[in-house]
Amino acid sequence: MSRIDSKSAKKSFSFCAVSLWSVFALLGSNTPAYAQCSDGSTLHLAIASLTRTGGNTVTYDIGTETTGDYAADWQNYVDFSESAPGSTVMHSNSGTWSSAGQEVYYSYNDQPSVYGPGNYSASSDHEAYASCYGYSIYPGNPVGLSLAVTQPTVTVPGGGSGPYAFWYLGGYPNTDNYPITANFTGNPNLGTCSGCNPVYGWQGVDRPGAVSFSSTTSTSTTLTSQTASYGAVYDVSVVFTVDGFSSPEVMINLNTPVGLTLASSNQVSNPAGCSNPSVYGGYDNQFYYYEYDLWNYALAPLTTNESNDVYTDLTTIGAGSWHYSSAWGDDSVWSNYVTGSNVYPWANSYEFLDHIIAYNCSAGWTPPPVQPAGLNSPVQSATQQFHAADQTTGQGISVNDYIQTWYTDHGTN
Amino acid sequence: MLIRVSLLLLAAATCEPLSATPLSALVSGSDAIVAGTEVGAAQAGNTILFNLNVERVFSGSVQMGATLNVVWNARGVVSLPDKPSAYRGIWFLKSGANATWECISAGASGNAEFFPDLSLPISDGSLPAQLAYDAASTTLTDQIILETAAGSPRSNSRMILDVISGVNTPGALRALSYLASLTGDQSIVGITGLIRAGGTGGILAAEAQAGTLTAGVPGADLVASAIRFFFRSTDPTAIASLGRIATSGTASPLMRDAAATALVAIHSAAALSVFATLLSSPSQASQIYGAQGLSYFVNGVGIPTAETMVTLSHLNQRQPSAYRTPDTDKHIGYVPGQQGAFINFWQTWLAAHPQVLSSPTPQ
Repeated sequence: MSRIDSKSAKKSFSFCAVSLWSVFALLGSNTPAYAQCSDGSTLHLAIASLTRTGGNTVTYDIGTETTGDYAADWQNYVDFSESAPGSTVMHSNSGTWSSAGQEVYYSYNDQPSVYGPGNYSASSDHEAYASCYGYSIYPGNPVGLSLAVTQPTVTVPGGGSGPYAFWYLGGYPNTDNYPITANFTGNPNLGTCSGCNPVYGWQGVDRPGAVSFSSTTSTSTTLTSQTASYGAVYDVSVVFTVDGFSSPEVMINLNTPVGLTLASSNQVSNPAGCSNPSVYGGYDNQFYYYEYDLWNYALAPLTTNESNDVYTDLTTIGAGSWHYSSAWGDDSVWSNYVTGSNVYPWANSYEFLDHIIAYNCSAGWTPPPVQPAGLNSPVQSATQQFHAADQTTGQGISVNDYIQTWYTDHGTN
Repeated sequence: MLIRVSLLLLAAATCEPLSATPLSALVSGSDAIVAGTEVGAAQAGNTILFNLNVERVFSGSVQMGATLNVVWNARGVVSLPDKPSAYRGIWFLKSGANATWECISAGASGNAEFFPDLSLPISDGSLPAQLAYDAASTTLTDQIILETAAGSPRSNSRMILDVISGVNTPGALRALSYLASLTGDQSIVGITGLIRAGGTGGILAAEAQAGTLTAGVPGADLVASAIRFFFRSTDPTAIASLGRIATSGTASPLMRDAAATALVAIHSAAALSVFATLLSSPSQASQIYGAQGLSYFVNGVGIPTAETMVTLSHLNQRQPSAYRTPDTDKHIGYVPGQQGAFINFWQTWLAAHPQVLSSPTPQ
């Protein structure tokens, strides 16, 4: 028995030195000496390797070869079968003889993107036959190979492979730590890959324009939301690819503030220090609002601004009772009461507070304030628009428009 | 025009907040905290000056019986109220120049602060037994809460809710329980506070009034919103109570809706039977609650809180689930207009997996 270097034995192949799936069965010249079909240089070689040669390539090399001084006296034979995960036969050969002095050799490249991840397997039988004395050599029989191919995967922030949700804030940047971006990491899962030079990629699958990628060629990327999901669903998906072999889709929900509504209200009949219990000084209707998302959950504090665009003096008050001047509806006067930013501090973990106030402590208030349920004598109205995720008045995600109304005895929205 | 001038009407639908300063910030930001009565208030622009007669000292280098010169620099428009009597309460003071003290507004912040909210109410007499405490073993924060709970409510009786927001100390819970045992708005405030603190007692108290807390009844929306937004306890007793409210024929729609919303958010194993009941209800609104709750449980969705609402980690960091599959993952929620398909999926799923009701947890 003698050994030869595999590269010198089959220079046309590039073999991975550590490949567990490459087998070369070498056979020395132990054939009968009298026939002169063999001598010390005669080697019979079973070629069989099943390797990952690219992110999306599984290569199966199979064949039989005889080398040495008497190689021309030998015919070579192989039969084989290669199967994809799930036992689907991809390639098979029931038996092929070469001409004398020739090798028999096959090579196949297959794409896991077609056949899927999992366990690839192959089996083969090899034979070399010398007609000069009718003798066969069976190098390495039988040869069985297997190769586990793992699909690329994606790791989302916090671990796992999704589903994942982050925010879309109407094109406005991260606000109050509400993230509009997410760092995804692609895992090529190449294992032992012979000569691999993989090309990585990221792409959207469902609603592909819903997110952008900071990089589409590296293993990590930052996704930025470009729009919102249609509801409480994971209707956006992305994949990471390695030479076109895709990871499973990562399902994504792009959550967004969608509305603002009243949580509770409170009527204070003696606002602003009108403390005489025998005199109703006016009213301070307090409105606790909450904002909600696509999942109908109440949002934690998020910068929200209010804009009041149109004030309207309502003229249903009888002359001599109240004359309602434009002074109330004059923005320049109004600004006296809305100093500074229109950004709401939040009253608690989920709500912020707005007021509709009218009072006159010294003269008292007639009629007495009531809970905001009646419709008595509207005095003034104003549009009220709320925008989330930005401090600038009128900018941000529109979460609701109201018309607030001052009545003689209460306020409503 | 005549009225405009003579009545000095002031109307505001301000963006101003009146949100309370958290009590912990009040305490830590004060150099002295005292009980006392203000006298002689006078206004100069948006500054109000007054004297404060100190009757008790909670903290700080102030002598009991002293009269302090106090200034309040309002951050926005302010008017000294028409007030027939001086305000007595708990005051939060910061040491200022020339032997004066600056008053930190207890109940308001932002650009519309109100004079009556500068201090917290305090009892006129001794504390009731439910609120009595040993000063040596009670934290300063709890002392203030217990004292305030005993005070007569001012015009905004609900201010205490925002003052003690997020404070779940023993003193806070005692104070809220005491208020819940009273009547009217104080009871509403107490029940609401207990619910916000995650107290099962608050839910049980709300259940007892679930039939009368209807939309339009003062305070009903306050209790309901506390259940909807704040209550996230998985205590089986509370879950059972919420389940009874959500499926009751006598509870008000407001309370049924609030209870179902909370159960969906919590979606613990103890709530599964309620979801099954809701799924089989003839009401589509109830069916959606049932489908949502079951979906969130099966798919290991977390419980949303104010903290997770920012990161959405309740959606992203799934809990162990014996029933989650790629198919169930695709039916976690719904797009508006496709409620029917969402409900149908989970009705069908439950029919195929009835064992989830008896063996809900991973084996």
